[in-house]
Amino acid sequence: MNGEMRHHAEALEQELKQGEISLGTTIIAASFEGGVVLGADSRTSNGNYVANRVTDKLTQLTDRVFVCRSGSAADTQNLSMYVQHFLHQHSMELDTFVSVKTAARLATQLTYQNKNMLQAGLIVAGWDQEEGGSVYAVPLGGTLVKVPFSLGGSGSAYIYGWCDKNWRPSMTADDCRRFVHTAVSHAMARDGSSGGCIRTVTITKDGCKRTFTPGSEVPLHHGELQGAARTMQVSA
Amino acid sequence: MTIIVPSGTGNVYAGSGTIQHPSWSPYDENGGTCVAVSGNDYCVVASSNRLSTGFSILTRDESKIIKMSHKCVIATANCQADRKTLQKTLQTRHIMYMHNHGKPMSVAAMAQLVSNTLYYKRFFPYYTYNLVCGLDEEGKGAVYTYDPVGSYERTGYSCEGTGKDLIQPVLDNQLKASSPLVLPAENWMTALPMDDAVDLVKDAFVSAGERDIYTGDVVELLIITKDGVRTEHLDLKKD
Amino acid sequence: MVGFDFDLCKRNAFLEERGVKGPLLTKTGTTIAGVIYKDGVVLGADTRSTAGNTVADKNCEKIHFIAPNIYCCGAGTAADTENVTGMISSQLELHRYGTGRQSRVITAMTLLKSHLFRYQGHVSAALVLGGVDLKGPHLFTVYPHGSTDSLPYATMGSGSLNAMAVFESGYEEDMSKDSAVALVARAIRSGIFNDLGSGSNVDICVITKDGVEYKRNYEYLQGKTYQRKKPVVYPRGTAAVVKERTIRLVDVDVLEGDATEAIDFRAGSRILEGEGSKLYEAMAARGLAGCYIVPIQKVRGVKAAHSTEFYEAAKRMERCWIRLLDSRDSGFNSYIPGGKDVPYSSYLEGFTGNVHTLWNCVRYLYSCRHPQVE
Repeated sequence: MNGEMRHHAEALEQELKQGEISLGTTIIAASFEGGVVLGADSRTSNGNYVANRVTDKLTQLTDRVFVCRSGSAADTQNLSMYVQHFLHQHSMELDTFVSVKTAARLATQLTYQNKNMLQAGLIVAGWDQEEGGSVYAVPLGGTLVKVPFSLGGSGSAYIYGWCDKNWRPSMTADDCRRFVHTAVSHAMARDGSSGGCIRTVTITKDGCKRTFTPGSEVPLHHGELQGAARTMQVSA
Repeated sequence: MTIIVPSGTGNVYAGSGTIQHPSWSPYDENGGTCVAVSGNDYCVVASSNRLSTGFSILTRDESKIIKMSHKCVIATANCQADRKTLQKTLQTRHIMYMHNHGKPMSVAAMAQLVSNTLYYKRFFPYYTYNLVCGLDEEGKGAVYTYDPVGSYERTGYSCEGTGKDLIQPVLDNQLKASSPLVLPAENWMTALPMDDAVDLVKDAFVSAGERDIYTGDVVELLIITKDGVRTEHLDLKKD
Repeated sequence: MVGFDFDLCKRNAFLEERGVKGPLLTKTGTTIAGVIYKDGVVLGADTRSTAGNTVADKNCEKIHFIAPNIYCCGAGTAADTENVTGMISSQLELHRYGTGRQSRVITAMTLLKSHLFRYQGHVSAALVLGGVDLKGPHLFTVYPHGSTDSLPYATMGSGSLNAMAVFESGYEEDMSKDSAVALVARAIRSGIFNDLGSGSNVDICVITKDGVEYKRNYEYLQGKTYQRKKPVVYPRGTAAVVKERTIRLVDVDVLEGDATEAIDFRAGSRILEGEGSKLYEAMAARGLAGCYIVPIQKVRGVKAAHSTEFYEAAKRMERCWIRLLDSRDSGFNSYIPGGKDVPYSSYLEGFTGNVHTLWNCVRYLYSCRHPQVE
């Protein structure tokens, strides 16, 4: 890389951080017998300020494929829009469901080719005819790995151990959803940049099912206090 | 000649410029405007009572004028911490002076003391803009104006602080006083009657309050005559 | 090629490195907010725009027109918010011509975010976008980098924290219009009084499926607190005459005089005759929107107090001075409420020649709802 280009690249890297809205996040996707479950917290922050406390970080790409987004809100939203767009075109030519692998490959290609511009950590997961439920991790630089389950975002550091211990290869859909839900709740308890509500999506051959747990119903963990909303009726 | 302004006081917003780590400044810019107009037998001193930092208001009721004696007050704009320290120091010195001499300091003496106190911190200045105002030993109105490190001058009227750019030219236009140093000597004192001077100062503050975001809430006016110091308050816009 | 001209970027970066400061941009250090209520969306904004520490405009408009059913509050660099909303508004208008359907809010949102994302945050527009379409009411925030949120209540700008504090404590689902407007006004007020970047008045815009109520200067909060007792009057000759040159007034019209007529736009007819200030009152009493026309009497020597005389005079005039009014007209802040077609064409039918200019003026002003143009 010549001097001018490096200068340019450095300038770009610095500018990426200017007041950008980021998803200080906990995201997770785990496969089970016949499908996958994706989970995420709902916090979007701008420095110290929570810009959105009910964010939906689980974005639908196709009928049976979702993506968990972490990193810059702008980058991941727009990246997802592009992936949706191309997959839509592709599925019209294909005349059938697009495979999870295709969606994941497309996501990596876009992240890899624009790695100097993007701050996007993704987990692509879904169900297809060939592989059943599958999870693809697409971290920052544009790597692509197929994994049984994957964690992402700042909150993930707090729950790797717990997830390694508790994930089992052939859970039921319900067990897997509970696994994801608990994992996210633990991360939210420890990570300041994660919080709010818990959203999950369960994807099987039969379709996608969403759940939403409001902040007042997120399970309490060690040291957490009963919030006012749980104990008091807020008077009008 | 240059007026010295301490460096490194620029507001550092999250993500502004290319600064990667938060930088710390020993100064805070707390805004505020001070105006003084003197006449043949009076001196009007006024300052806005809003104290702010960045885009927030810290209080709407902070007096920036300290009364040293019946004939002398000091108005101080900008960094509140430095103003408190400076005014406390000056008050202590003034009390000691009164114990030693059995009388309050003259305005001229106070003006020199303020200059010395400011210059004492030449390399870590008090980030303040000061006006020393009162009646001189002949009973005439006196206004001394300073830079943050103690350079000073006696003038007929002056304005310091965030509203300076807006008010000073109006005062120049209305009062047209030349420096006392001009030769041959000119009549530098304003010839305005006291009520007109108060009227002018009030109008100047109301107008500055319309356009300067750091000037607002209330303006406190101290009117110094041979009979002592009278205080008035005028509401300004609160937005 | 459509887009910006980047030719001087390198030069400017070099100059900046050497410590040269660029020009001060007018920022709308702002409080803007919006809520979804039972029947639609309420948007609100303050009216201060700043350049550094000084107030650049004490009564600017921050609620921008996007489509007849969509409006958008803008914070950030004034030029960016105005141009970005203008560009998207025009794209949507073309799209409506193509499809023959009402614009959707999500379309406006997607166009905005794609544009802002393309410029990687350099176009600093932070927006609160609201509207009602076939799917119901929608409210979005759009950040300068191109991220968006869909929320039931939203705030932006330097006063966003003040306004959000009000929303977090006072928001309820399915509010009535009155309580929604009151809540938004309270949120904006909290920005105006507590955030130095925000100030002056409250603008409100209510959007429902049945139309738009744009309440310009819904709350006028504080006027001057002191009037100078002895204003200085400069005697004639204060500014010395250095040189004199006489220009014959041939092509210049004197744009002064009293109004002789007021026209109600909605009814498309002349309704009032009289002198200037009385017209204001009469129109205000009837809650009318419209314009009044001042014929140029002094030059033409026409005394056009009567309507037919006025018509005749207007036909002969080379130029008219028109002024748009609403029922609460306050001089410079007059505006026309938006959204509805008005049969003003019938009124203007009888006019020919230069009065056409007048018609075009009215039409232009009406279409872009530009309040400050007289």
